[in-house]
Amino acid sequence: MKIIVALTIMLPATLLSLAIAATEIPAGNDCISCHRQKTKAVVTQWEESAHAKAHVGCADCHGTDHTALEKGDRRVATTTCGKCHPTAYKTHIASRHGMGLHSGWGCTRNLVNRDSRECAFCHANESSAILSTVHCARFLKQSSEMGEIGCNRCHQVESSCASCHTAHITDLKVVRDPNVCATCHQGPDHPQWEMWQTSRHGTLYSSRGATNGPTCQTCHLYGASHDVSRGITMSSGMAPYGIEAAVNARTEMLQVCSGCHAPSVARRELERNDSVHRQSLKLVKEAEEIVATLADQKLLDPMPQDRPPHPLSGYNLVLDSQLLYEDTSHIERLLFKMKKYDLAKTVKGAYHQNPAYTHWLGNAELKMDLVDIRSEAGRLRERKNNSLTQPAKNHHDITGEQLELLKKKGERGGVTPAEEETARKQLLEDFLLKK
Amino acid sequence: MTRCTPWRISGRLLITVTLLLLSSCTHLPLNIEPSQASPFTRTISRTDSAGAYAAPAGNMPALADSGLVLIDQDSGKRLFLADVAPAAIAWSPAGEHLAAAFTDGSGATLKLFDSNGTLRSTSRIDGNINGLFFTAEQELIAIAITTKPRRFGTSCTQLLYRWKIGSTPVATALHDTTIMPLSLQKYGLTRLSQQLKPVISPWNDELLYAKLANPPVATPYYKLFVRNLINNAEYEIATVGIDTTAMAFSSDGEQALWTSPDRMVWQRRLWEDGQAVLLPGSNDSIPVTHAVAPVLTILQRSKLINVRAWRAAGLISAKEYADSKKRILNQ
Repeated sequence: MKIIVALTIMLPATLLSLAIAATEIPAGNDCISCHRQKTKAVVTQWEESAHAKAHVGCADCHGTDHTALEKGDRRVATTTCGKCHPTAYKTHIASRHGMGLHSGWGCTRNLVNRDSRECAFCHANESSAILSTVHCARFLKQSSEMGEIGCNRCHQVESSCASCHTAHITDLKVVRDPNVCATCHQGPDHPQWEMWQTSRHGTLYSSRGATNGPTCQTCHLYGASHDVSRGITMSSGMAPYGIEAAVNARTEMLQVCSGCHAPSVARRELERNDSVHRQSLKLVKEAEEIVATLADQKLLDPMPQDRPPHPLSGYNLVLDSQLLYEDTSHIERLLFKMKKYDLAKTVKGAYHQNPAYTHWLGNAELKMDLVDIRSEAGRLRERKNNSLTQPAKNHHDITGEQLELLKKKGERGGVTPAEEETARKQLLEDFLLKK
Repeated sequence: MTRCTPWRISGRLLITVTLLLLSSCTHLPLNIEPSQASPFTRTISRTDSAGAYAAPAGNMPALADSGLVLIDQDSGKRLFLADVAPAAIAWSPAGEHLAAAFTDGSGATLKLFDSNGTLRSTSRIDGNINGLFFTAEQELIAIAITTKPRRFGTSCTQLLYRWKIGSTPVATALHDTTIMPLSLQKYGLTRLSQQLKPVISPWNDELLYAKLANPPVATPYYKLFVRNLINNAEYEIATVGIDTTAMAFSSDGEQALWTSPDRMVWQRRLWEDGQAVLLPGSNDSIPVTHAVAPVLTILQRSKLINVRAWRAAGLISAKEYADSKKRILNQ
């Protein structure tokens, strides 16, 4: 009887312990013996790494829950790396790579007149901690598969050192190769890698090596820092920083440039590029104003309320960095190209010393975009004027509409308060004088 | 007793209308005695405090025994339009049409008569009628209250119907609230939902109405709103107690007035360079004749209504409005 009782108690306990043991990685080098057979390349890379020499084993980074590992739930986060590499972790998290890029937003804290409510897109209240919730409209429009490979593979950089370093190789040759940046920093929206590659900096690098040709890392990871945003005077959406932040960043970049160039030359180059930046933003601002005015006049086709809602702003018009390229009107799609592609090519092309990108691929396209947008706006207005369903308006209605448009224009900063008041008084005067 | 509007009808009849003195009168909500010396008033007959309706073109309110009756002022001839009393009636600004709302089950039937008493149009709306007004010669608004009992209280919705003659009335929800069971027990549904009748401005362009608020474990109260009917811009003007009994516009449409439980009349200048001005007034000092507005030309009136709408929507400032109004009245 005693034996039966003992078995009744011990058997489930034994089975449970066996079940737990089946999901845990055995201690010691047991991972290696098995994975040498199953994932030979990974083991080889690890054996050649600094981690192996420092006796940092698989479980130190991956943990011991083998079931979770098999599901892909135990990717190594930056916080894990940060335990042994605190300085690199801190500078990475404080940089643009670590500031909300997972959500598709660059931090806007240094922008002039920024809307403080924007902070809530990435941060919890009164906290610098970044929320895990993704608040990128373009991401939210994707299928989960496209979101994973098309968005997160780059925007995971905040939480994955492997984005640049790769997973098991610690050889710094990998992260010092500009190609590692090209995984994300190429293509129509920010082709920094192509700009650099075809600039004189890139040509010197390809012909004479890193001692004569600076790479991405030479300028943007100066002194082996992980602060990739050091020295940059604008947000990732290309809005200029406020004066104080811009002056500090410029000082940092001049220090980098001065490693090879006379400081006065470097300053002149950067200041000329600042002018290109301002001139380009002015073109975009004009285009934004045209689209916003069309929306005020209810002339967009389709209007925001007549198309699928914007994932973050519903049926409101969105022209900021959450601008969409799908489920939108044709003129907004033109603005998207202008703002997201051609503005970036012009401005970043200038700062990366690439004349072809700055002019033909950037500036010329920007100006042609504006021609297209003006033309499309004219077509939309003409279409409304020719519409047989529109009743004729009297001057009362017209004055009311003009006052409303003026107010909206004032609210978004399209006119100064003084200009708005003058225009409003003139509209009222004309109205009162009409018989 | 009432004042009469100065508008003139171009027709041959001066018509007035009366109602059976039921409880559903919508005009003249303030129980205010105008000056006996006023050149615009004279005693016609005895009535209750809010029972007579003035025809815009006429100057003689009259009474009838029941139903809806038109009286030819010259001949005294009576024309019975309905043998049941309407819940509300309204004359069009030029006096060419008379609208009446009759309770009909859970809703109301709106009827439009011409000045000869001929029925021109009929339509039906949901809810209990709480106000009926013309905004233009061919457009009416009706305010109706729908209620629906629920386990947690009574759902109460205030609807604004816009009826362009010849088309179907279109409803917009002005307000929606839940009346708590305790409030319902204490005050009653009719008092809570329909005591404070909406009123229209003398220019027929703005509506002064109340939104009932009934937070849990708190006494219900009203929020008073002015809504511009041209562009639907609206703004809150005051929070008042549940004992408030009536509201009105001042004769120039620039002030809102309401009665407090102690029978004081409160007046609020609607616009004072953005500042709220709340003044206690006395019954004698208030120019409160409903629907009496200065005589303006068509152009003046049209311009004034436009600048009022622009002001309500915040398109022009209070000062720009005041300056514009002054110029319009002097044109």
